[in-house]
Amino acid sequence: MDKILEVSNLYKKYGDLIAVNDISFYVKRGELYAFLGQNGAGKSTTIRMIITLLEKNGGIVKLDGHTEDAYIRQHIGVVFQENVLDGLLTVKENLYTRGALYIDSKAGVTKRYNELAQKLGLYEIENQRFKTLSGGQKRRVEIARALFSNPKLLILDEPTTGLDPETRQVIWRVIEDLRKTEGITVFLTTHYMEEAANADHIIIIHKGNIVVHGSPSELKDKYSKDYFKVVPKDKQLLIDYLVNKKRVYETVSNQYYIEIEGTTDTLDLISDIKDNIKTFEVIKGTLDDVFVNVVGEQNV
Amino acid sequence: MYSTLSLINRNIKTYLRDKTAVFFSFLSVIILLTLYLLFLGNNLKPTGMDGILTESELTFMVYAQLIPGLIVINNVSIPLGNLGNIINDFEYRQIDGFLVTPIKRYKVILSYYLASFIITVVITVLLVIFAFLLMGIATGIHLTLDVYLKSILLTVLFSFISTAVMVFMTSLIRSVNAFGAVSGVFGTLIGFASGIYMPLFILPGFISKVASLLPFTHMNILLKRMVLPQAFDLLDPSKFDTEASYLSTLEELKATYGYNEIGILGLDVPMIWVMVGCIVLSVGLLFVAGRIMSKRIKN
Repeated sequence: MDKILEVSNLYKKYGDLIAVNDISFYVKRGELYAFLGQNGAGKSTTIRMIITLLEKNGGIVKLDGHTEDAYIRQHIGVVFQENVLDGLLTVKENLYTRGALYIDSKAGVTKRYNELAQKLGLYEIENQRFKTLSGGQKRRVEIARALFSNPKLLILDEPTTGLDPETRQVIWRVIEDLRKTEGITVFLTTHYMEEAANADHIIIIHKGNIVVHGSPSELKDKYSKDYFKVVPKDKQLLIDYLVNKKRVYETVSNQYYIEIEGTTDTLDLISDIKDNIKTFEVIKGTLDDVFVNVVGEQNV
Repeated sequence: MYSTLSLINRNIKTYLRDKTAVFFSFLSVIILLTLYLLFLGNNLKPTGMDGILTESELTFMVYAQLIPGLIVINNVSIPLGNLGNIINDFEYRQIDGFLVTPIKRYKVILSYYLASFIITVVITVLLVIFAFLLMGIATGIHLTLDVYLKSILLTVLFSFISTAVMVFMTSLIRSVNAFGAVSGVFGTLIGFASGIYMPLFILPGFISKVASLLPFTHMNILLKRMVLPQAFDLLDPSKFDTEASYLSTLEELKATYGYNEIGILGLDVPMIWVMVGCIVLSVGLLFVAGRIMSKRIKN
């Protein structure tokens, strides 16, 4: 198994508060890995330790087998939740400044700048001051900044928060293109479950601990339920059937949400009640449900 | 080297393009000029000089004691203006963008200092040349090239000292709002306490002792000792009744204009040792500031 990032027994304490409690996980090369958690769960603290911005109280972070801070910084790219580029500098000036922190010659920086400008469509905005760009353009430039070192691991900390849905889609197209063409491994934190739904692997952290992890489908199977939503012609007939068959269901106004266990179960149910169906819909369990169920349980 | 130069370039550009920061950097100079125009100018014009000095020569003498103060206060307010960059970068976590790269932490800190030093030196040297030229054009009496060159060299030294003091002060401040308040108050306090806004002889005696602890007081005196001799040479002893009256007028002018060295806390310490002490203090403050900022970076 080709692990690009290995985190072992990571621990961080602030006074009496344990922010990150002995967590371990790994990321496979080429994966899109999503890291979910509420505010204050320990996500940011974990990320900051991985990207060497925060000193650990315990544990090891290995990037491609290396633990040295200098190696990690040379081979990661980080897109922060807030923009870090300078509003008063142009796109080109910003990227040249940051590029110089990775590449020790102007010629080298120029070469890499042109590659990124081509790939991310930056030529048309390169002479504009960063603060005059739209939200989506700013994110694209921030991604260019993060890619300057040709990183092995791209870390995106809530990369589309605050952007409108159309711009979010554009940004994700850019990231997906990069994954396909460059084979970059992407480590993502997000509040948007639909972004995590595209991940190869998800971790949910709560109060400094990893509570669950797995692929989106594994997590949905285990921690969420599918429902058959039906508006019946005869309510009492339906209720009698459900009670008789000991089926779990909930009622919302005139709609009945019946728990189902896969396709065969759904087809059997439809077969049984087909004459009593006015309208129906199959509601699949979502990662939102997973998150609420898992974190909700922890809260209790 | 290329990375440090790039960061210095970035720090300089972000300051120069921030019109508000640049304006507030020159506010101290504007305050001093306003104070001078409103009442200091008349109070500092020597009286009883009819037949001894012409109007132009009188004006030259007043400018010769005012301009060093302008230059020194500029040395205070310019670094204060541009070091707000550091606070901004820390408070809004823009510094994270540098810290996740391979650049060594000390280079990030050094680039802030060097950018501030370069900005301060360039602007202040330009101010020296501009002010001296203006003085020459306004009065018809020009300072010698020797005075220009020595003043410029002193300005470079003063920029090193004042930038170091301001970097240290900046390292203690956590927020942009606090920095704005502190830099405004600090700049004004220095202006008064160093005998720049008001001559020291007007202020109570204990203020002189406090002033003697500030590097800026001695910078002001040292620069005056470069510029004022040419003004004092305009006094022709033969135009006085007696040599004694010429000498006492000269001594009075020297005292009024803050030309005399004041030592440290009333002790007679030669200026050369005061400047050496200031340099040692500056290096020490830079070192401490570096340690403080390194610690903040780790958290």
